[in-house]
Order: sequence, then structure tokens, then C-alpha cells
Amino acid sequence: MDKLVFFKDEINQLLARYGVKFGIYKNNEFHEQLFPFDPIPRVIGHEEFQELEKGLIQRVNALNRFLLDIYTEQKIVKEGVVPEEFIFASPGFLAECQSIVPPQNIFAHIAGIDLVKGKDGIWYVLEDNLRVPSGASYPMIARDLCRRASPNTFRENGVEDNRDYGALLRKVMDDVNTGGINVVFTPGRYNAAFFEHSYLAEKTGSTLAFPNDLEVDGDYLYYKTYSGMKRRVGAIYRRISDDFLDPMAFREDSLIGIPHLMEVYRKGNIALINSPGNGIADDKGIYYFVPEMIRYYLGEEPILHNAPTYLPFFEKDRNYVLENFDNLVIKDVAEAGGYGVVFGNKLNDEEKRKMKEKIRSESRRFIAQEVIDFQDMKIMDGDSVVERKADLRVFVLSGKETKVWKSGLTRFTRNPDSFVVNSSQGGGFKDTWILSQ
Amino acid sequence: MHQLRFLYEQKIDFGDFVINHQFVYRCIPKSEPRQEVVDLQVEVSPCDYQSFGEDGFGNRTIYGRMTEEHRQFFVRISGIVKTDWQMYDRDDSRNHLFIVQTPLTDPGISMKAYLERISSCMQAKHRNYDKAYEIMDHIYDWFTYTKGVTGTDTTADQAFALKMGVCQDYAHVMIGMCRYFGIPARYVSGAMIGEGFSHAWVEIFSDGKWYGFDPTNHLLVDDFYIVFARGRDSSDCIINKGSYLGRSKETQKIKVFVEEIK
Repeated sequence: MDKLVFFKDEINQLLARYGVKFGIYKNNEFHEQLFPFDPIPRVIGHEEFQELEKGLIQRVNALNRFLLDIYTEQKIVKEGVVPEEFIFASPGFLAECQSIVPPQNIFAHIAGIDLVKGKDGIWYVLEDNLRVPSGASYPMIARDLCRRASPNTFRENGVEDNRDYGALLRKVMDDVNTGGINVVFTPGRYNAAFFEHSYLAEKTGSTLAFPNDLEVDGDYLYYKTYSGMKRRVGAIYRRISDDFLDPMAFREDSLIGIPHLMEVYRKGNIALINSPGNGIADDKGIYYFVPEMIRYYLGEEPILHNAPTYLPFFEKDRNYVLENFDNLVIKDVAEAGGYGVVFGNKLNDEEKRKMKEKIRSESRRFIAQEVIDFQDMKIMDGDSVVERKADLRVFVLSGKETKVWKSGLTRFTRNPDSFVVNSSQGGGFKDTWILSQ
Repeated sequence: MHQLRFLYEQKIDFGDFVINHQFVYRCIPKSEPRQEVVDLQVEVSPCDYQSFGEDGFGNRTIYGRMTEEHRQFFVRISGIVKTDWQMYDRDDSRNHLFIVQTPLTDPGISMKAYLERISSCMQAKHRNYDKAYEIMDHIYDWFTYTKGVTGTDTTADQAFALKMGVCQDYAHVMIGMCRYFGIPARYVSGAMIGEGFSHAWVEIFSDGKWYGFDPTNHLLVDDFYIVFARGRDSSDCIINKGSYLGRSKETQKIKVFVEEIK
């Protein structure tokens, strides 16, 4: 590990050269910044990870069952397990997706589950990301460079090889492919995660497609080559959000979408990875119901813990939230990327009054959570070691089988007193080592 | 039971050449309990291809593309439909969805004041059907059919405050009011006998069946209506969506008619 610390600057220089960057939109301007790499890895023991793995597979299987149910029979709503207000009034529910059963019944092919480890040693799930979770490419390329810097480190420490992500993803694409080539669809060079799009296309042996490369013709989707030939597409790993996916079905002003894609999808002639409409399952309000979902669909007790969460929608929870406001973190259900998160004790009296008023009048819009005191991680700050908060995004891939990638993205905060860990808010990342025994 | 001949025709003149024209139409009747499509003709020109599809509410679509330069575009959908209003749709599988207000139907300040006034007389009625009938009466008294004062984005509440509007506004107000009283209600687009335009009305769920109400004409829906599409509000039932590249001063001529075959 000392060797990795020694090579820290070289590794970061190489990451910069390969274009491992992160883009942020702020005040309508696009800023691209480096995503600083910290050489001290997060290490997770073999048995500890086995337990996590079981819990994650269980959770993602239940979420996929939930999505299938919501867009077909809606049994969970009809039986009163999840109130209908949380489904049909949510912007995550897409009426366009009703009655569509995707190949292999999979909606969330790539799930990015965000966890933190509490000081009590317990892992808590903070968020399920089932739309377009990004970040797998960072630990992939960082590991690659670390191995070059110090091959022995990995041999001696018995670390699970994480270079199989491309193969895992490729397998998922092949499992759901409806006949034709695999494509990674990027909105283009100025997307925050463009590096990742091109990198994953390379690692999965897929074609990297830009807007206007793809076109619906009749009942199928085609990729147009430079020579004017058309090749049928069977699976598309799309890295644009649902809103922009098909201007004939969703936002009409989308210039990066593929007109009539939803028609082809409904006919079963294309696999969309991930499926549109997944926003209904990773909504911060729905998060509260995930443990119930596991019991409902799988008949099992949840293995992983949710952070203790309250829904002001329910009167009992609302009273608790208003009384214990200072100890809670309040999240706006509609926001993502670390925005719309407020800590009760950080507000002044006027702000508190306003926030409490909003919680009363728009109770469906917020959730409240206990602040989890999570473990600090060591990072290098220049030549000295300091401690920062960090979370972990684990990638769960679902095709014919559900598999957990034996690695993950560990992100840490830049400011020592910040609790919000999100790449959109600055900060850096670490490699995540899963020990093989 | 009656037999109807129908036609939907749209001629677009772009005024200049356009390219990469993508289109989707949602005005194709399908066979269902109260109507049986016995003949259907579709003509779209010019186009690279056209294909039949379906949307999230089970409505039929025709979609396609015209890549090369063109100045005009022509669509004609025609056919023969047998109708029988006594055959009811009993599908309640989406009722959870049809009870939730949308931005276009949600009652605001002006509608709510009115709804509170009529709520005691609504409570005296038990069947959703009777409540919906009462609501239709109220709307008929309140509204004056007026063209040109509302647009496609006008909400139920805005139209209600104006006391004026067209069939879309009548339908949104009625849906908003029905849902307010807990009655599942859905928007229906289609055509009515004799009319020169497409029409919109409402279906409400009562006693295990969907009933058609036409608040614009203060009528119960009978055999002389043909359904094109259904949804939560008008935005789910847009008859024509399209996009193209070009500097165009588009003009459209739309012809809709329905006549009885005796």
C-alpha cells in the first residue's frame, strides 16, 4: 500500500491524461474537473462482503419485481402495501411504460446501491440508483493504473480482481439482447460522464453511438454506419435520461433522443438498459418501502438495513419529524445528486419555520432520516493522513442472473465537516478492495 | 347497434422544404367492447415508412418518418366502425391511475370554492353515476362554449375561472371534479357524428362499468361516437405529434367526419 501512496501523483497524472474527469453543471455552465484519486483503498473483508452481496442481490431482485408489478398488475398498490399517492402522483411513474414487459423481466440491469458503514459496524443503504447510475469506470481504470504502479500489492494482499466489469456488463447485454448489435448510447462529449461511456463501450466490445447514429425504421432500431449501411440494434445501454429518450413519447424538445424508440421497445424488439420508468423505484419516498417490498415479493426478511427513515406523509412520522427536527436530515424527494438535502440543526430559526411549514403542507415531497454517524476513512492530504466521510456505491448487475461486482466506487467528501458525499459536490474517490479470503 | 363511416384527414403545407420529419398519429379506432372496427384504411404520403404501434394506455398509433425534402404532407385514416353503447367496458385495472389529478385537471382556488359549495348535494347521492350526472349539469350551466379563449395548455382551473372553453376544457373540468369526489374519470378523444372536428369527452367508473358523458353537449355517450384514444388528460391523447427540420410557415387543414351507414 505504501507503494501506491508513493505513486499517488503519477497515478493522478495518468488519470488526467486518460480523461478521467467529472463534469458539473453549475449556473448553466459546464465545468469539467478531475476526480481526485486517493491511493489508500477501502478494504472489505471476504465474509463481510459475502453478507453484503446476499443483501444486495435480495434487494435488487425485489426492486425488479416491484417495477414489473407497477407497470403490469400493480398488486402491491391494490393490496395496500404501498399507498397509491407514492406511485401515480410521482414524476418517476411513466404512463408510457404501462404494460411493457422487458426481456427477461429485468428493469434495473445496472443498479448502483449507495451504502455507508456506521460507527456501529453496520452497513446502511442510503439510496438505490436504478436509472443511469454512473461511476463504475473510475475504480476500473484506477485499479488498472495501480496494478501497473505496484503489481505485487494485489498479489500479496489477495484482492479480488475487478477487471471483469466489462465482461459482466457484456453478459447482461447479451442476456437481454433481442437480436442485433450491442450499443452504448451517449448524449455526447459534453455529458458529465462521457469518459465512462466511451470506456464501457470499449470494455464491453459495444459500439459507441451518438445522437443521430441511431434511427427507428419500421419495427426495429438501426445503427447507421459511415458507409450508410444499417445494422440492427438488439440492446442499447443508454446513458441519457428517460425525459430525453424519445421526443415522440417524452420531452418533445429533446434533440438527443431517438424518435419512436418507445414503440420499438413496446414491440419487444429492443432491450433498453436500464428500462425507462425505473424512477418510480429509486424515488426517495419509495426507499422507505423497500424492506416491505422484500417481504412482499420474496417472502424473506431484509438482510440489509435502511437508514432509519420517516415519511411526513404518515401523521405519526410527521409528528416525530417536527418534534425531532434538529436531529434529522430532510431530503427533497424530487432532487438528486446531493441537492435538496438539509440538516435540521444547520438551519436558522426562520429557515426552520419555513421548512416545517413546507413539511406540513407538502408532506409527500419530503423524507426525513436519522443522521448516521458513519465511519471516517483515512485519505492522503498532501503528505499527511487526514480523516473524511466516505460512502460506497456497489454495482449490481441483473441479466439471467443477479451478480454483484466485487469492487465499487468509494467517494469521500472534500470538506472535513461535510456529510454529503456525491461526485456532483466535489470530493474524490478511492479504490475498493474486496479480499478474496 | 349502428354502423358508422369515419374519416380523419390532415393536409400540412410547410411553405418551404423540410427534412427529417418524424410523426405519430393517435386517431385510429380499435376494436373494444363498445366499438368494432370492420374496415380501416390508412394513407400517409410522402413517407419512408409507416408502422402501427401502441401507447401506454393501449391506444393505437401510426408512426413513421420522411427523411427527404418535402413541402406537403398528407394523412388520411378512414374506415367503418360498428358501435353499441350498451356494451360496457368493465376494465378497472387502471382505476388507481384515473383517480389521481394531473396538472391539467387539478382543481385550484376557483374550482375548489365551487366544489365545496356543491359537496353537500353530492354527498346525498350514492352512485358515482348520479354524482357524475350532477357534475355534468353544473358544468353545462356554468360554461359557455367559446372558441379561441383557451389553448391546449389551459388547465381545468383556468378554464373554470373563464367560464368559457371548448370540449377539451369541458372534459378537464369534469374530470377534475369527478376525481375530487373520488370518482375514477378518464379523458376520451374521438369523433362525433356530423362534427367537422375531433371531439373530447369523459368516461367515469360506476358500479363496475365505464360510462361515457359528453359535458360539452350535455349528453350521454351513445352509438354516434367513435373513440380514438383514452388517458388521464388531453396530454395522453394528443392526436398528432411531429418534428422536422426546416424553416417552415406551417398551415394545416384538418377534416373529420362521421356519418351513419343505413
